[in-house]
Amino acid sequence: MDATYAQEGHRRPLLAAGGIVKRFGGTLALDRADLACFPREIHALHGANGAGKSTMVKILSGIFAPDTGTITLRGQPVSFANPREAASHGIGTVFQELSLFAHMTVAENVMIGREPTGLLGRIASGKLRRDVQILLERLKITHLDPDAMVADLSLADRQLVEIAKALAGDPGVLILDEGTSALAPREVDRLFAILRHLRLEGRAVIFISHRMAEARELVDRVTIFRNGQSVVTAPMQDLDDEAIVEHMLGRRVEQSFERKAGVPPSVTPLLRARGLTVADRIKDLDLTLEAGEVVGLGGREGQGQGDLLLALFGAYRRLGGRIECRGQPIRTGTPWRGKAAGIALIPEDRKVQGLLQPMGILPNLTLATLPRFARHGLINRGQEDALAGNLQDRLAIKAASLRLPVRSLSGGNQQKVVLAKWLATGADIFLFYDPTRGIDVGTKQSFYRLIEELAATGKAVLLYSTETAELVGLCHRVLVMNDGRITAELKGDGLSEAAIIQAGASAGVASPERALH
Amino acid sequence: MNATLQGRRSSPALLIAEHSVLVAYILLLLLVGVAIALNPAFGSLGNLKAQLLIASFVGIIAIGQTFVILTGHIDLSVPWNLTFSAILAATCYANGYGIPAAFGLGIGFGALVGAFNAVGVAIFRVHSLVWTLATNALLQGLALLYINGQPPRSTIPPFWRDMVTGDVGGLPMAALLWLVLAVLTIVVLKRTSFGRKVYATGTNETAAFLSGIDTRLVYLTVFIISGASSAVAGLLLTGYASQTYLGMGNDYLLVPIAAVIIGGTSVLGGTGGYVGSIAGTLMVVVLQAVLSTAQIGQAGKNIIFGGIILLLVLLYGRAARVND
Amino acid sequence: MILTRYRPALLALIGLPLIIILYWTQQPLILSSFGARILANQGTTLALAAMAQMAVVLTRGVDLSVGAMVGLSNAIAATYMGDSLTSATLTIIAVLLIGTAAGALNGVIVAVGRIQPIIVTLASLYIYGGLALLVLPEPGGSVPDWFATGLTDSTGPVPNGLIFLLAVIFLVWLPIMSSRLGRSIYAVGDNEGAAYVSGLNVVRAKIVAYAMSGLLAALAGLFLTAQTTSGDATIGSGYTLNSVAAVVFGGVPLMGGRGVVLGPVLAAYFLSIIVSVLFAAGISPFYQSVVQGGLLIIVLAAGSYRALSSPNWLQVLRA
Repeated sequence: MDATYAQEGHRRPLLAAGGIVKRFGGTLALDRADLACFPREIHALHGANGAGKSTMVKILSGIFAPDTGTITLRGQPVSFANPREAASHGIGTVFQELSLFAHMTVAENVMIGREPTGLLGRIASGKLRRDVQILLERLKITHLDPDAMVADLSLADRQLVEIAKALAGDPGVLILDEGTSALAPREVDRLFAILRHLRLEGRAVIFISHRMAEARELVDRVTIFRNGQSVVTAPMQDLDDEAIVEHMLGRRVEQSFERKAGVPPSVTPLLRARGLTVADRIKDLDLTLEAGEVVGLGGREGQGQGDLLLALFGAYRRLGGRIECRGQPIRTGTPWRGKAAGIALIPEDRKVQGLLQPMGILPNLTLATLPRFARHGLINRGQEDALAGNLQDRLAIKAASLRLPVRSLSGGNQQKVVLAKWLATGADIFLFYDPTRGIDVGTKQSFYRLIEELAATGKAVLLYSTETAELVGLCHRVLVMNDGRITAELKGDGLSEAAIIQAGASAGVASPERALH
Repeated sequence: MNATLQGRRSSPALLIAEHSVLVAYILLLLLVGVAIALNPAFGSLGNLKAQLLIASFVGIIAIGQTFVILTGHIDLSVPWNLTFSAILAATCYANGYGIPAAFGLGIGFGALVGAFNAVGVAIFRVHSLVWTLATNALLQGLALLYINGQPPRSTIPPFWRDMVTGDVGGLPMAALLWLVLAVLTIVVLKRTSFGRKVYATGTNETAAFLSGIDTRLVYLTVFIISGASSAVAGLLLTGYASQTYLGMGNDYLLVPIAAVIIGGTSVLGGTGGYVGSIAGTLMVVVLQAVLSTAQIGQAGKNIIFGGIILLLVLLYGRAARVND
Repeated sequence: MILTRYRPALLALIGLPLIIILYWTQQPLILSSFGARILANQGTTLALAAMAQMAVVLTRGVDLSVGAMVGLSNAIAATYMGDSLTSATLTIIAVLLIGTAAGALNGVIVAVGRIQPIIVTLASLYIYGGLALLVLPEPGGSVPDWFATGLTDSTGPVPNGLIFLLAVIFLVWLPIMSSRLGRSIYAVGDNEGAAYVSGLNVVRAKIVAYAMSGLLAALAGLFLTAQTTSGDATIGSGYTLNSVAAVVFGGVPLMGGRGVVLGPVLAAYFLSIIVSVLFAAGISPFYQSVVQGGLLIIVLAAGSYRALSSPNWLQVLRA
């Protein structure tokens, strides 16, 4: 590979972003943030959800243009009008939301836009395939067939394809934005070996991951973002985990969670699922939720946690097994049946699944409860206003007027609107899908209080979170999922972040499908 | 980050988009002014009544299209649904079944076609554009078969015509009917839970569905409304022309869609309403009259209408950028 | 693996021989060189129109103006070709350029203006249709004999129409679609966001797809002119729906990103022949629309197998 990167002076950053400001509608995503990485460096970028990491990645990759600020590459100022220009400057990115084409093969995906061509620009498909084969072998991703359709791959394999795709461009700077969440430990080790090799070649790697502990030995320097600002950049060995978290949150971390006493099982739990089976996502799963209980779902990403929430709520139209609420079997298969049974879902993607972004806050708050104040279909505006005002006060939703479009609210307040909509229905089973993703720290705390309040008032909560700390802090029990099954139940003293990660990882290695590779 | 409500950016395009209904009415007034300037006779009471009569056919179809377009879809089966419903009603009447049965059959058939459209959209999840286009072709074939290729029998009684063109309180009957249906439409869209569901479905079907709204029922209802309004327009046109004829619906596909879009309803669904569509309807009718006065033939009219639609969607029908 | 890409075309691949056999039982003559010429001439216009439609459908769009562009090409060709070689050649070049420009204009409005393809091409359907009427208000015009026979006669046993179609496929379609540009057209239809972040030029891919659509529609219009030896501004109107039908029937999903050209081409011949079969069987020609509309409805409904079989509502709904 190219040795020029190695010859560059060590003190000049390979890629540097300075004073970056980026605003989206009502929110300031980046507020004069800096980030610089040197050749021969693996640079970790840490920050709480919503701190602006992904926005920075997208600016460095040419997806967003910064409002103000500069980007320099080997000391030269650059600006990327689009991802194409960033790539041509040697920046390769592994995106959090994968950028793959489902109906193309692995080989076609890896080489998209840089296919080898022959006479008259015709793609040389034989050479394409061979090139990819060689690349995959070099990356020791030997179990992937270059001719396999991406649509048929697991999430972990897709992440591997995404990584190979970023590396196919032979980038001088590789950026990984959470592209490893579904990988099994062995695959993570392999990835880390690749990253070390890139470093050896004089390249730079910017690495974002929740796997802070795992990455510690790999990383040279770390930058921490908080609320859109870069608060510290330091050599990795100068910061212990506690200090990193402290910088991320901007205060000393006090264990703000109280250890929860378990809720004893009862004869008729609020929710009981038996033999729940959904396509190939959930496999013969049993689950109970007691009134007053907060149950967590953990494990690596994409192991069926989200599907379980969707299935219980009714977003899967066909499922096997039975679901009982308060001892009575319920009809499933549509959201309105779930709603009638008193189940509420706070979905994964509040933009696409939770809210009508351009519509007002008011119609969003009352969307699930229209029949309550509509007589013969005619909406009683007085009653609607009263209900909405009531909800706004109860959840302290910060909005100048409920007539404003919901997209004018900050992420945290938007999420409150989603929750308020379901509180209004009188639901007593709340399913949360990573509810604090992309929410600022302050609102996060108030969300935790809300979840605890729900439990205190006799409701049941099932919470899937990608932040293990959240699970440990909030839940009475945590169920760890692997490949559509619950493989571990952690509670009492056995419940810790380490135990959750361990349970998610170890079962991953033992799973039969992985053993095949 | 606090929940600051950021000051709105204002660009001319955005300003027009946000006040599209107002813009539509201002343009309407300007256009009427132009029409009268070109041809003073345009402003005569008789002519205004005649224009209003034509507008009521377009406006009633625009009711259905407004509902459908608000959900983010489109109904291209209007021309032959209108024609076939009218032929069925006329034949039914000719066979001695009386007006109520004839109208009931026509409107019922139109509604049935709407339901069929909804099945394709809501159950089979085919885009309405392709599905309703196919429905239109199917209806064309069925209509030809039904009349066996002969010009349809036209025994339209004078009172059928009177029911359309007759004068009540200075207004043509058809215009009165349009007025009643228009008020009803506005109330349904703005004041009822069904109207709210239409907007919710058009804004974001997934979010509406996950809030417990059966969006399939919303689609079913809006397409039935569209089918029925096509049929009503067909019955009115039959009375107006005192006959049914093949191709009577041909001019009623693009013009009502243009009316809805000119009135500020976004083809992406979720924003707009019938108040704007009324202005849009009046505008396209006046525009047609102006073009006719200016001796511009059908070809020129088609080009101008197509151009206007393109211009307006460029102003307020644009999708978000990929990187937004 | 690569063969799986041809699987969606299977329906057309099986359907076409079956319908030809059925036709043959009624009209044994069609398996002669004369019959082959008839078959080719009947289907080639639609096959080209189907390719025009497919180019746009691959990007997850739809082109309602295909029929109007066919009609416009027909009107221009029949009006201006005249008798001399020069005028005819210049007219052919002009038709191809105008078609490509008309398609590209659709593409620019869709890609740069970010407007739904449906509404853009619905509007341009009226614009191009209106232009065709301005060029040729009444059916008429004429074409040189050599042009008509050159495209519709046979060379030995092989119909010239088929040679023309294969030439278009091998000289226009395949070179473009098997280049990086073609791959980016598929990529945009598969996942537009991913195409953008992968550094592909999304705008260019779309404009090229629409321009191809215009070019192929112009070629369809030229062939139609040779076949009918006259012009009619409204003659193209049926090709919009039928081209969509051929695309869907040929296994190209309207969701874009997938499909091989073989499917729509075979499906186009199938749809053209089925009309002749009905006619030959003495069934009223009024059934033509019923059969074409009905077939499209059935194929669309059957093609929604995925929507019906997906257990997850969220994969079915529109955001």
